[in-house]
Amino acid sequence: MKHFYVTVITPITYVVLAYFVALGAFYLIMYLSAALEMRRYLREVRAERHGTILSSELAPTISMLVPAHNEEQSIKESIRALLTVAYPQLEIVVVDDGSTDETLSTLTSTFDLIPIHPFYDRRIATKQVTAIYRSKRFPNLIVVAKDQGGKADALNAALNISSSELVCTIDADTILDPDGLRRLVRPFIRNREVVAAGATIRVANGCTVRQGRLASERGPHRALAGIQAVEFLRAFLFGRPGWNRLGGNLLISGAFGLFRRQSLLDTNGYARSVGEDIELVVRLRRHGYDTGQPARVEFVPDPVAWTETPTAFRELGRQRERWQRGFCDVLWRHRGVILRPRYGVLGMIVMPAFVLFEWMAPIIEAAGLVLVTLGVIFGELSLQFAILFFALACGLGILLSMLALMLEELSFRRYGRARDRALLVVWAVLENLGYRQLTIWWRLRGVASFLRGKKAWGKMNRKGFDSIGEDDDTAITVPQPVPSIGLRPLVPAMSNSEFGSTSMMSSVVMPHPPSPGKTASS
Amino acid sequence: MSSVDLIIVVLTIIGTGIAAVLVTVAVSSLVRAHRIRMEPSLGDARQAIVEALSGGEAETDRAFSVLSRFSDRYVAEVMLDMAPSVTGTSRSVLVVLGERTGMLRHARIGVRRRRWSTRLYSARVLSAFGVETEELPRLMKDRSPEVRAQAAAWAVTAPKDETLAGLIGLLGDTDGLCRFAAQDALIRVGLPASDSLISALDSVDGEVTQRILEVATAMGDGRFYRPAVELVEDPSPETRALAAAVLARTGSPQAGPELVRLLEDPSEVVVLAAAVGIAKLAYWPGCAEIEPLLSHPSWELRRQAGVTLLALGAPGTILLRSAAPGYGLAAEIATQALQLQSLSTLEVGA
Repeated sequence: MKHFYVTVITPITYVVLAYFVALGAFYLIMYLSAALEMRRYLREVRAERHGTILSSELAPTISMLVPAHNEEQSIKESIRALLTVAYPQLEIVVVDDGSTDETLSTLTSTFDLIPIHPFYDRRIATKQVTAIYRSKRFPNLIVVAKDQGGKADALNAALNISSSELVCTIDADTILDPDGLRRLVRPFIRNREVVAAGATIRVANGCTVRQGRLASERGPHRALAGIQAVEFLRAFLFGRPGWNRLGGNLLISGAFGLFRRQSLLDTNGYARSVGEDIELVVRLRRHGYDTGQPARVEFVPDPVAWTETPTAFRELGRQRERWQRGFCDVLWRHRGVILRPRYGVLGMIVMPAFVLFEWMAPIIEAAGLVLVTLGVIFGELSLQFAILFFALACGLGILLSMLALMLEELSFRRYGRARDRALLVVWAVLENLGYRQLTIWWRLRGVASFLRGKKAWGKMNRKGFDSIGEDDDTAITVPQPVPSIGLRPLVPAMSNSEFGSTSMMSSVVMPHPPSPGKTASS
Repeated sequence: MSSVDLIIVVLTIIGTGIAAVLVTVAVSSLVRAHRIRMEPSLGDARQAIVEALSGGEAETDRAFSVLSRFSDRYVAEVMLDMAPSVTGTSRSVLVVLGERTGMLRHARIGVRRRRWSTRLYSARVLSAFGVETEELPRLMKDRSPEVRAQAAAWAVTAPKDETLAGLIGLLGDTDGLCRFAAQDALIRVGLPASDSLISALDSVDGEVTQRILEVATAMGDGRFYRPAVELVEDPSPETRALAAAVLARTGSPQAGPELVRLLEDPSEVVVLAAAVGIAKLAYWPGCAEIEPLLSHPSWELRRQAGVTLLALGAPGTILLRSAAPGYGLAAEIATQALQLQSLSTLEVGA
C-alpha cells in the first residue's frame, strides 16, 4: 500500500501542488486587475452627477422583467420598491409564472390592475400567456399571468411583451439602490457593442427595510450569512472587476442585470437551464463571435442590489449544489468554445480558466485533503507538514478575503458601522474553518448530480421580506440567519439559476468569483 | 531549505500581508470615524451656506468663516452637494464662496493638469458652479473621453458659437459617452442651437447627420422642416426614418403629405417612422394609405398601422372595423387594435 502511495499518489500530490501554485498566480493577477479597475472606476465617477441621464430625453428606455412564482408574501413590497427606482423611461413587467398562491390577486388589489389586450409579438415561444394587466395607478406597471414554465420561460414571456431598448432582469425579492439603474445604463450609452452589464449584489440579511427601500445597511450578525457576505464581497469587488479588465466577464447575476433587448431576441432569449443566467451570457458572447456582431459584457461595481441569502446549512447546500450543477451544464453546452481560437479571449482564456479554476476546484481541493491525510497515514508526510499545509491553505484564503475587505473599505464602504466591518473580518477567518470544506462537499455533489443527469429545480418556498412593513412606514429588519441546521430558512421562491460557487479555490483556498443567487429546495 | 521551512516562510509572508491589510482597514475606519464625528459640524457649514444664499453676498463672510474651519476636501464635498440645486442669484453667491475658499481657483488650475482624473474632477467642479472659462473649448478636445463628455455637459452654461461648434464636433466622437453628452447638451441649450445644427447638416453626413436629427426630433423646432424634407431623400434608411420623425415633430401643415409619401419607401424602418409620424400629427387624410399596412408581413408595421388608425379617430376606426371581420393578418391586427380599451394603454410610438 505504501508502495502504491509512493508510485501513484506522490506524483498526483505534486500535480495538486502545482495546481495550487497556478491558482495563486491566477488570483494574484485577478486581484491586481480588479484593483486597477476599481481605481479607474472610482476616479471616473468622483463628483459625477447622474442627473443628466435621469432627465435626458435620450436615455435608453428600460423594461424591468420580474419573474414571480408564489411570492404573495413579498411581491407587494418588491414592486413598490421597483416603482421608486429613479429612471426616466422605465417600464416594469411582472410575470406571474403560474403561481398557486395569492400572488396575482395581491398584485391586482394593491396596484389596481385592469386587463388589457395582449398586443405583442410572440418572438420567443413560451407557455400560454393567459392575461395581461396594466396598473391604473402606475401606468408603467404591467403584470403578465401565464402558465407555469419556470424562470427562463417567465423571463422570455416578459421579453416578448416588453417594448424597451434595454431589459433589466431582477428577482422579485431583490431590493435595488434607487439610483442603481442609471449607473448600470452607463456602459450601454458609452459603447454600442455592450450587450449586457452586471452589477454588485450584496447580502441584505441584517439590513433594515422601510417601504421597499433599505433604511440601514448593516452587515449580518450571524455566522452563516456573514460568511456569505464575505463571499459576495470577494466575488463582486474582486472577481468581476478583475474579469472586466481582462475582457472576460461571463457572470451576470440573475438577481440584477441589464441587457440589450434585441440581442436577447436574436439569441432566442433564456434557455431552460439550471444556470440560465450564465448560460445566456456565454451564448450572447458566443453569438457575437459566430456572427461578428458586438457582444461586450461589462460589470459596474457600484449599482447595488440587495438580496437575502440562505440561513440554514441544508438550504445553502442545495443552493451551492445547484450552482455547481448549472455551471457544469453551461460548460457542457458550450464545450465547443473551449480552446478554439475563433472565440478569442472567451475560448482561449475565460472558458479554460473557468474549467480549470472553477469546475475542477472542488475536485482538486478534495483530492488535496485526501492525499495529505493519506500521506500522514502512510508516513510519507509528517503531521507537522500536514498542519502547516492546512494553515497555508487557510492563510491564503484569509488573505484573499482580507484583500476584498480592503477593497470594500477603500471604495464603497456600504456597511457603515465599524462593528459590522469588524465582524466581516471575523467571518473571513471563520470561513476557512469548516465552511469552506463544506462547500467543497456541496460542489462535488453538484458535479455528481450533473453527471447523473439531474435537472429538477425542486419545490421552492419563500419567506423573504414577508414581515416587512406594508402601508405603514415601519422599519423591519431582514431576518437574521437561523444558527442551527434544520430550521426553515429564508428561501426565495424563484431561485435564480446562477451557478458559481462562492468557495475559494481548491484545497488551496482561493476565492473564486461566485455568482450569488437564491436557493431552491428540492 | 526543506519543504516545511518553505511553507513557514510563505506563511510568514501571508501573515504579514494579512496584518498589513488589517492595519489599512483599521486606519481607514479611523478616518471614517473622524468623518462621522465631523458630520454635525458639516451640518453647520451647510446651514451657513444656506443662510448666505438667502441673505445675499453680505452673509458670505459668516459662511466663509465657518467653511474655513474645514479641510478643502470637506469644503468641496459640502459645496458640490449644494451647487447643482441652486440657480440665479443664489448661484452667484455660491460662486463667490467658491472663489473665496479657493475651490474654483484650484479647479481652474486642475483642468490643465496632466492627470485625466484631476482634469475630470476639476471640470465637474466648474460645471457644478456653472463657471465659464476659456479652457472649455480645449477640454472638448481632451484626450480623455470622460473629460470631453464632462466638457460637453459644462457647455450648456455657455452656449456660444464656439462651444456649439465644439458640441457638434463631439457628435462624431468615437466614445458613446461624449456623443450622448453632446446630444443632451444641445437639447438642453434648445432653440439657440438650432441655427448651428441646421448649418452643420450641410457639412456632415452619415451618423453625425443622424445624431443631429435625433437632437432635432427632441427639440421640435419648426426651422428643421426644410432640412428634414431634403433628408427624406437620403440614401440611408436610418437617416430617412429620422428625418420623418423630425418632420412629424415640427408639426408643419406640409409634413402630413410628406409622411404619406414616405409610406411608399422601400425600407420598413422608414415606413414605420412615417406611420408613427402620421399618428403623432393625427393626419387623418393619410388613413387610406395606412390601411394596406394592416396586412404587411412585418408584425411591427402591422401593429403600428393598427395603432395609427386608432390615433386618427373616426376615419381610422371605420377602416379598422371594415378590416376586422374575416381572416388573415389585417383582420387579426384590426381586431386586436379595436379591442384595446383606449389608446392611452398603448404608446403611440412603435
